[in-house]
Amino acid sequence: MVVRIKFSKYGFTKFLGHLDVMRYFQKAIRRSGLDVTYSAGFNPHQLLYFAAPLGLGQTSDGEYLDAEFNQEYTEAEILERLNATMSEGFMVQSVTRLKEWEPNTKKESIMSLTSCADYLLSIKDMPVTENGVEQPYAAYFAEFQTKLTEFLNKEQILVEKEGKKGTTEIDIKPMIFKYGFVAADINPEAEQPEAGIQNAEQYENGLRIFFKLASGSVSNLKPEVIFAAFCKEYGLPYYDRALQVHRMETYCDLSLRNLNQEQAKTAIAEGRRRQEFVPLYQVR
Amino acid sequence: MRKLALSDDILLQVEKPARYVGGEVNMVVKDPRAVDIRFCMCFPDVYEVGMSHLGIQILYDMFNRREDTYCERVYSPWMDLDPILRERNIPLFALESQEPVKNFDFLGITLQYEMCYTNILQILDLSQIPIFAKDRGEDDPIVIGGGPCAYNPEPIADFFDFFYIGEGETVYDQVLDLYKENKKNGGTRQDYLAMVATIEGMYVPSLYDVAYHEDGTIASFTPNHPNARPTIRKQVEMQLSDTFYPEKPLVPFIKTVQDRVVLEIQRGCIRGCRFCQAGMLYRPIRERDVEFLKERAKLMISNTGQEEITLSSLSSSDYKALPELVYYLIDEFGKQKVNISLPSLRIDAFALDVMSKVQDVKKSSLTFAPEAGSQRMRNVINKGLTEENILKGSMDAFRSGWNKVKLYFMLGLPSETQEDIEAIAVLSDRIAQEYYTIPKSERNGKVQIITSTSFFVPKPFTPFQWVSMNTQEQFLTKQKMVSNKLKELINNRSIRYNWHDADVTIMEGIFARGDRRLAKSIYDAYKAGCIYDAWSEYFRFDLWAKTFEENGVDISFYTSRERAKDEIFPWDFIDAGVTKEFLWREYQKGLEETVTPNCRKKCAGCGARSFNGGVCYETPEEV
Repeated sequence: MVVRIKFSKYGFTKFLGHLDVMRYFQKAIRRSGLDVTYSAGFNPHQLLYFAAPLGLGQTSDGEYLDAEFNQEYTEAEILERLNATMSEGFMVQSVTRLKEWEPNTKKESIMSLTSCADYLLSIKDMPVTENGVEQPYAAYFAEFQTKLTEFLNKEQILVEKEGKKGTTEIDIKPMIFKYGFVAADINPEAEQPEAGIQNAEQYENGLRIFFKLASGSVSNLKPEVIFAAFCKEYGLPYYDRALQVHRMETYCDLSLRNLNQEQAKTAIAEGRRRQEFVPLYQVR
Repeated sequence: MRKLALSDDILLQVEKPARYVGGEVNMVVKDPRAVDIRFCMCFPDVYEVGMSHLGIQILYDMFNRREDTYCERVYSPWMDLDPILRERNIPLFALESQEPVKNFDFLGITLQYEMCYTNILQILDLSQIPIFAKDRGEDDPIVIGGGPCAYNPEPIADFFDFFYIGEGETVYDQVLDLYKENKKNGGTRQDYLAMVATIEGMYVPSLYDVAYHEDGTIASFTPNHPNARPTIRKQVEMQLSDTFYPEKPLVPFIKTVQDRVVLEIQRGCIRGCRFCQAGMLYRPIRERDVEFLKERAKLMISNTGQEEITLSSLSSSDYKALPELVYYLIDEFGKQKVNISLPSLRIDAFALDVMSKVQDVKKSSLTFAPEAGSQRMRNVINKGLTEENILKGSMDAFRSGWNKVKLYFMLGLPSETQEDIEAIAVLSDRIAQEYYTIPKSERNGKVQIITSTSFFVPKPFTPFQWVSMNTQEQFLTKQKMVSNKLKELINNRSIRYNWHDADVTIMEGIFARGDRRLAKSIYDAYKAGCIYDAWSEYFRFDLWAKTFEENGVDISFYTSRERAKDEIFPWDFIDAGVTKEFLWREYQKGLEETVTPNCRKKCAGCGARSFNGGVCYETPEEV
């Protein structure tokens, strides 16, 4: 059976890189005793597939991996057995059974399904030293909401991107689907819009912003990039270590499903992306 | 949720923040306020090295079984964090509670190699604990040393309150109980140290005085306190199948050097190689029961989820139930896709069968450690591996599909001649020649031979503790002899030659047989910037050499000086089981090129029989 596992990564585990998280899950699955499928060959490895990697220092309530098991289990049993072996800072949120992978056909990879993610970006209660003056980073952001709104409402948001052929300017505006200052702003129809932030860190200064952004291998925008552009525009200091990014959920855009990378790129360029976002755990 | 000692800001500046956050699977969590004793266990090297050490895992488990004790861990901060801690005056902290080490009752430091000595000073310094034991007050932790380098603790004696000589399983309970008792009675630090000195195996350096002859050798080594024992007898756990062994080893998040479950199958060695300190120190050989090992292996794999298990011992082939154990592991873990790694195996039919089952023949290599190139030299060092063994083992392996061979040798052994040195090259070539006797159609491509040489360091408690160690110049000349000889030989293109650094070897030589007078130099070298000496990118021989010169230390006194038979060595006060008479006898036999049979063939009367167990009391093998 093939399942999609949704998990949270929070607290001190934000200091573990993506490769370490993969190794962690391999070991956790062994400890759980679940009969996971291995690849063939002299160095067999577990058939685990992770969605978009999370940056070092970031927390999440919306991480995903797909796993294949040789035996039949109920979704509830897998959830329970995994959570029984999770250590501090990891929690499995849900387990969803997917339709079986057909032998000898190309699997629908979780990475290719990923096209959007929700983020909460917060300003940490942390002092920074700028021009010899030490003060809370939050102190630089008077009129936080007003200025950010003004910035995000611009027609175009150009950022410099370093590529192989030198620096180019790209417009990130089309990759920002929604933003707002309460969770409901980006998920107005959700029954529990706060669902993705149960393990997010909270700061006294209260400065935070929610984003729904393009994510995945076709088109990807990191929330820090938007914030850096904002700081640049307003002449404010930018300190990435003073920002806390929390991923809330990861989505598939049904209008791009079944397209390969090239086709998806073309579809986006031609404006055929319909933003039919469905959380990955609901995509079977 | 545990609060971390370091801010996000700092953790995101360093290369691998996971080194400092703890929280690993199977980490022990206790309320520090609810225990009587807080013990911080330290491996003075970077996390990935320290976490790979079995000894700490055993002691961590053992201490934490006590309800009144919380044992935590600390490792050396890497060079990216070190300056930050100093600049911001952040005291070094333990991984579990993230609380400063200076608030603990004990700091136990394992001494696995000489080149970690400056890292010990870094740990103390960053913990804000006075570096010299004499400067510590009632509120500072008691600093304990243990592990192999504690068998000559003298160069670092000034930095430690006491040393635990031998295996940790035996008397640590007494050490901790006495501490509690002393605290309850309102006793001082000095009271406690005087009490500890009464426990067998505990060495409190401040309770001894050393006097020197004019030539620099030791005139006397005498207790200055009624409690101090004139000789310190090493501690040995004789019941290895009924003692502490972790069922739930810690599982690091980041990749460590030894990223696998370690199953220690036995302690000690029957072989009696004359250069080998471990082979002498850990006598007598004691095996763990095979059923005990099977059970622990299963528990550890299911509690850690590790994908590899390795057997640990000095010479696995001498473990009597090895085939039973190995075939069990293959059978039990094969279906769980757990890899089995088998270091220190003698290459024979059994080894080849097992290796072909557990590894990819095409990718793996065979390893031989002849240690010396000529049979004469191997007789001197009592390495019972013959050229015939090596050639036959290689041929059997070549016929089974292997084509990579690793060979380990030492340069600078006692009585070594140019012929012995060149024999290293000749033997490497002979193995390659053997390979090419196989018809081309049956060969698996080209043969690859990797020949490595290290430089010999005479160690305490070995038959060679009296000998002169080579100088850098001699080492380099000898290394060139091997290179030059290799170039003359037919198969030189199939042989890759690696060698060790001579400067580090000299340092090891100084500390291995050093005395108390070196402490000042270690301190000065640390202050001058020496740290992570075991890491070639940080090792600064120039700084060390300068420091020794400034302190009037003559390097050759410790390294290349041939010792007299009756010289008092800095480590003579330790009774490691093997007697000085035995070691001298073995030294003389070595010079006569006479081989001593292994412990199972014939007792050599080394003295370890006094521990009342192990191989000394096995029924002798029929010869």
